[in-house]
Amino acid sequence: MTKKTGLGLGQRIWKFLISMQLALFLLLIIAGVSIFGTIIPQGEDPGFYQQVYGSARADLILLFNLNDVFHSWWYLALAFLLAASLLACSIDRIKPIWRQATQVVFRQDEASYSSAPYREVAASQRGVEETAQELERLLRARRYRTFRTERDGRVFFSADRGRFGPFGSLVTHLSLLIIIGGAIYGGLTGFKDYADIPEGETFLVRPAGFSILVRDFRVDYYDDTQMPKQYYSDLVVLDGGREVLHKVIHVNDPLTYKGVTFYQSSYGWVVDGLVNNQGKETKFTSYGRNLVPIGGGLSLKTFFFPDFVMDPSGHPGSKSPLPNNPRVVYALFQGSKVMTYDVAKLGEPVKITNNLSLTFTGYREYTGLQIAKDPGLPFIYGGALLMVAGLFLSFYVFPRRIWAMVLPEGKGARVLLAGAASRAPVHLTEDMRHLVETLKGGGR
Amino acid sequence: MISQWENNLFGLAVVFYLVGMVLYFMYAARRQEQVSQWAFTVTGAAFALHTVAMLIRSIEAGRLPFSNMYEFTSLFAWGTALVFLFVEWRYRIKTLGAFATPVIFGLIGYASVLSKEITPLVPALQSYWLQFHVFTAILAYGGFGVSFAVSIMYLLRERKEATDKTLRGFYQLLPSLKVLDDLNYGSIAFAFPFQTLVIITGAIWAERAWGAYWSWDPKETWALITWLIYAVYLHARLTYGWKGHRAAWMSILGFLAVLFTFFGVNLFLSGLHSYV
Repeated sequence: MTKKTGLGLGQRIWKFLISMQLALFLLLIIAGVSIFGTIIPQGEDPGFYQQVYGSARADLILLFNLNDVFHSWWYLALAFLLAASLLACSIDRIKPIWRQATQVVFRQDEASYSSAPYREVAASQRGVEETAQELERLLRARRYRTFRTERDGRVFFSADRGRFGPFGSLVTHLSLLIIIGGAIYGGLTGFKDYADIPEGETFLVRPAGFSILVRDFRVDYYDDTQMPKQYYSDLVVLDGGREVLHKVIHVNDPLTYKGVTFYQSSYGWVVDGLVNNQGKETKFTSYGRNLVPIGGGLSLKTFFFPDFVMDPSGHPGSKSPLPNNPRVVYALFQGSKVMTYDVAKLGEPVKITNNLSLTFTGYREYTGLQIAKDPGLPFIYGGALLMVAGLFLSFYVFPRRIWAMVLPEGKGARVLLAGAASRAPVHLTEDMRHLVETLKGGGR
Repeated sequence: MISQWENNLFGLAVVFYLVGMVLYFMYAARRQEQVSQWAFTVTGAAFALHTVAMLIRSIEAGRLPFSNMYEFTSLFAWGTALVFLFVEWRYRIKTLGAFATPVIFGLIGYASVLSKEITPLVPALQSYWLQFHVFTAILAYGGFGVSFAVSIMYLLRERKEATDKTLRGFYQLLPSLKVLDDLNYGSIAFAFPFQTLVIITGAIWAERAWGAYWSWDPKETWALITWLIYAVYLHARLTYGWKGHRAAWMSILGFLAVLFTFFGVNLFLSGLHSYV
């Protein structure tokens, strides 16, 4: 039987969640296991791992999902636990941070000054009231907020600066939760798609229920070079049979309609042609990678070269991306066996058998569009903005507090100072030294 | 020709950084105040020459020099020099130079052997986010570079203190362990919000360019790993008492992750982020 700890299960879980050990452990473990996801190629076929790592290690990789680290159940479990820890810590910290920022406490006991981690003493030749006023003025000049009280001829100050700083960590932690929440929400409600669409054709975005027409695709080159400057797709959104939106997109400038965004992503050529099978003509459009069945148990694969040239080793290539000398390299397959592999001009019929022939009639460009809907984005960006605000509050605001007691001493006054700073105490000690030196100097 | 100017000024800056580094070493060895003054002045001059060279390059290219391996390696050195010069000017820690200038010189030295050719921007790089992304990276990496130098100083002094009760010679010049620990924290606290901004601006840009704000690309993932290591540093130091020794090692680990994110990912791994 387990020992009685005096805490209920709920309290123990809570203590576990808000413990710094758990947070540090999770951060380090997540950093560590993420490395696997960068050195082991992700999302390949199982056969790939067998080939590269050998069967024993490949089995381990597949067993622990190291082929897809970032979507594995255990990575998500770690992220979930981190989120739970973040939430618990935030809730746990709200009250103390709020109290610290709003409560005004005076130190009226001399012993509490001599035991403070940061302390100074200054003697002034002016009277108590005059010294107190001078001190208050100096604190305010250093942008401190001051509170004053008096008792038995002594004056006490409680002063603070940057009291909103401690909220920074709270804001940062909550912003991370918003980002994680946004990522989950986006993953559950959004979708991703990709489409290669030839010029002049329409693509139906099924989950969104509207279509996109590609009017034109073009590439701009830097002057006199073959270096692409920009890729443009002229897009029209068709919703309910009507043209509702028109935009020429390019890389870094996508089109968004009803929350669905179209990004310029890729491009290439398609070849149009006619098959003549026993006098019956059928049209086809062939993409680089796709096999087009043409009858007679044959299928066709084409590669388009806009500025065709055969290099000395017999490999086809393109001198430039401009259609100066367009040629189609085609291959005919029977099953997976290559029957023919040759080059054809446009418009010239290619005879395959006595009653089967092909003609390549034209070529077009296609544009490759990344299509995505992510309703989580506003949360991601809102969270990011909050996080930046939280971090600058945390690290660029230096919260500090100074307590003072002004008491009579001879004809003048003595000032006791005590200070506290949660981070960057150098700012506090500079402030305190400045106060002491100015107070001493003022008496001369 | 402008490019000749850029080349000459850049070369001169490299030489000045080298001389500054040697002077800082001399100061560490001989402990003459005057030498540390010269070292600071020469390194400051190197920084100024470096800045002018980058400005000339910007005019010549018609854009900020933010887009290839040479340009960013050079900026990495520039950022480290900026933060180092500020820290020395503000806190008068003269021995820091002997540890920070080798980092700067190592980076600028590596930059000087890379191809300096100005290439037009590929479409993916034509974005305003590039400027924010790189600018924040310069500041973040500069701060982390300085924190790395400070951590080395911390560990050296700590090792010496363990064996010798009285510190002699060069060790006398090193600031106290408390000051070094605070400075280490200060540099990381300065840099961490910028490292966060590097990741955020990168994510926004990736969404605009590729349609996904996060793809677990090796560059992204390593930037996140770096961020997590420094997050551990900040939490452990503030609330778990990992000051001093462990904090210094954590800071060194963090900077190794920075270097791997920047150099290692391109050398050993492949991904979307192939320009720098």
